[in-house]
Amino acid sequence: MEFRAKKADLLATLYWTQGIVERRNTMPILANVLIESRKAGIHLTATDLEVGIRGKLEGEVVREGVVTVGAKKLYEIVREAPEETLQLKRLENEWVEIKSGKSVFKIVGLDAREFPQFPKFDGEKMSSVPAKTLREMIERTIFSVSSDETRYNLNGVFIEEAKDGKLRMVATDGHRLALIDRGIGALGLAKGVILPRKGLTELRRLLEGADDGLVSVGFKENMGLVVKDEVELFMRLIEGDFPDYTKVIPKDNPQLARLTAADFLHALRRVSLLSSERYKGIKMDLKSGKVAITASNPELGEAVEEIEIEYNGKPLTVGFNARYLIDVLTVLGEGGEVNVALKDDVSPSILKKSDDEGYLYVIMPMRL
Amino acid sequence: MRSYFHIDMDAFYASVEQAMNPDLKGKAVIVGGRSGRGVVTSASYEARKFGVRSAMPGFQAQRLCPHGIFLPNRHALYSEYSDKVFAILEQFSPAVRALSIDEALIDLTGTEKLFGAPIATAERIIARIRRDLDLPASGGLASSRVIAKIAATLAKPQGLIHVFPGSEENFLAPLSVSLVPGVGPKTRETLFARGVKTIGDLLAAPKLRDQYFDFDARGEARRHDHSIGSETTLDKPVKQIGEMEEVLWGLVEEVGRRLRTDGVFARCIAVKIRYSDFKTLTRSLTIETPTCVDREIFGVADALLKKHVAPGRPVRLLGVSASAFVRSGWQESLFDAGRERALENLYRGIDRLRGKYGAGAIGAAGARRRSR
Repeated sequence: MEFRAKKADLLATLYWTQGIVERRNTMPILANVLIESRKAGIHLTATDLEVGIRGKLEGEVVREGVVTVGAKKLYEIVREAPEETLQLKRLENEWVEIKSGKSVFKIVGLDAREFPQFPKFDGEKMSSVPAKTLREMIERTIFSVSSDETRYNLNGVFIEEAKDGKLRMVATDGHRLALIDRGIGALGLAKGVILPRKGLTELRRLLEGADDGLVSVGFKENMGLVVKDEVELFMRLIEGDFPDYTKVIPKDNPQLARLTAADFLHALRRVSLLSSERYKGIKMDLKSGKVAITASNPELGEAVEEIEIEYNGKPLTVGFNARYLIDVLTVLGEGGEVNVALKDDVSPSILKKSDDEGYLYVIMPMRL
Repeated sequence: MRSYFHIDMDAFYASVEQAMNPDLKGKAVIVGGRSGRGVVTSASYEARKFGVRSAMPGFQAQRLCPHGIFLPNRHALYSEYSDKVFAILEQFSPAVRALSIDEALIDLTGTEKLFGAPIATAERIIARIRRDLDLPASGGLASSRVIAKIAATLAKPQGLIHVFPGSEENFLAPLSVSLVPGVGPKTRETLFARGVKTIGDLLAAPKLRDQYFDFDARGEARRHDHSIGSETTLDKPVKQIGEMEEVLWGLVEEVGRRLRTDGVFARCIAVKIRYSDFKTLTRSLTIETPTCVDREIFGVADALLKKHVAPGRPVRLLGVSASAFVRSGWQESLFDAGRERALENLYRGIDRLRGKYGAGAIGAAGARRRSR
């Protein structure tokens, strides 16, 4: 195997593999990137078996063949390469030579036959969806995914076809829940599936900067596949049932507060500096026309900030984990206003951006 | 200034037996350990003279005190007497906290107008228990709960020690650290190794002082509790997990009730298992949502028991404890918060019923053969 490629192209393709390869994996081959140099093109593949990415590299094939080498080390070498072009060549016994100008690296790889097969998608129905909307849907839900590995069915974002041809994504960690509906056309999902957080994190990276383009999305058995330009990303779906999220979305929250998103976010960031590390608890005292946000910590002291809001409900004191509010306000952006619909201090509240009916965030209060 | 009265019944089970049968008075009465394989659960002071102690194997007690009167455990009876003792305590203060079947902490703060000086009230309580139930008790009266407990321990048997406000440190300084609640044999060794032998030494170290004592700094008592626990020595060694679970339920009910009485929620649940050969293990688990609900505590304790108990190996003691307390300020769950609150209310209701009609008034169907 031997090929020549531009440093910038190689770096760009290797970049996608960096988030996929596992540092502490029990299978050494999974730390490697598979490099296939064929007449049809040069492809780079990385996978941790749950998520995989395969990118096409522009280059000049000198000789066909395959090798695998450590993805992180190769990326570092290419990044520091002195010249604009590089040459990769397979030597005896899985050694790989990387040349750029006067610098020559020899690193040892592993037998490419050990590298896991990339799932074959051919003939599956792929749907085209706007990359920008897809990215927005991921960004507005993924932060609510649970990181508790014992609740594996919450370790991903649930995706299903909603009514009116809309696509819905839902994520929850058991304390808060984010739901987004967007009209981006049907994906042909017979029932909802759970996409793993790691796969979606990579997908979001892939979609960065792709504001106008379309990506293809398809599903096959327990796999999801996304194709953007010359890059294919697959992810193994999470098995298990997503909880019935419709049950925890409150239907009757009569106390309505309307807040300026930026004021709310900044007040929370300031006040929460004095909340406890573990639960980040803050208290909101809602009264007609204003809310006082307070935090107190026996070890540090206390903080309070009052902001003006539209509120005509009865006076209410409710505690929240400030992080949950800051998370959602950060992804929703500082412009505009948010509406918070409350019931009392023990029931979940709903937060929405005032101009976006397709998004809602349910948050369970803290016990005061 | 607060007034805490810690009362501890002397040789409770043995004393109940003596109260029921006056012929036993002045004799070495030993409850439990009759079979030789079982253990002593209580020994009268007459028997203690011969070296008999609670939790001692029966054969050893029989060797030390061959003339002793060995009696079987009658838990239902002791429970009944315990309820009677608490009924008396509750006449003197609304703030009676049961620490175990035979130990309680009574907050006498503010009872002066009704009953006179706290020390007089403490004397009256002990006298009432003696007169109405024919049972001996000892007590400690102090401005802090920890000091009250230490005083009660020192006062035994049939004594009452009043630690005057202002003299706390003088009273404590010469005492051994092993008298401090929360200092067991292991901790004592560690403290000794650091040169901390007396409570005076301990109080000189600000960190230890804060950890073990609840001195009144801001006019408000700080919590001194590290854990709330309940344990019981089984009448005879048990190998069946089902039998252990029954005992566990009883212990969990006790721990849950005390958590609710104190208004705290625990984030850490532990079980203690002691085998017949005295090998003891304690295993704990930290849970995400703090709880005071029996069912939740049992779920964790039972899982720990099943995971760690060696199958077929006879168990002689089981314990459950709750620690890492919080009073408020944790995140509730979106999916089952309603259920948690409903359970909490249910158990608080059960506590009220039991307070009114006794411990046996209501219980979980699986825990009918409770041993408290």
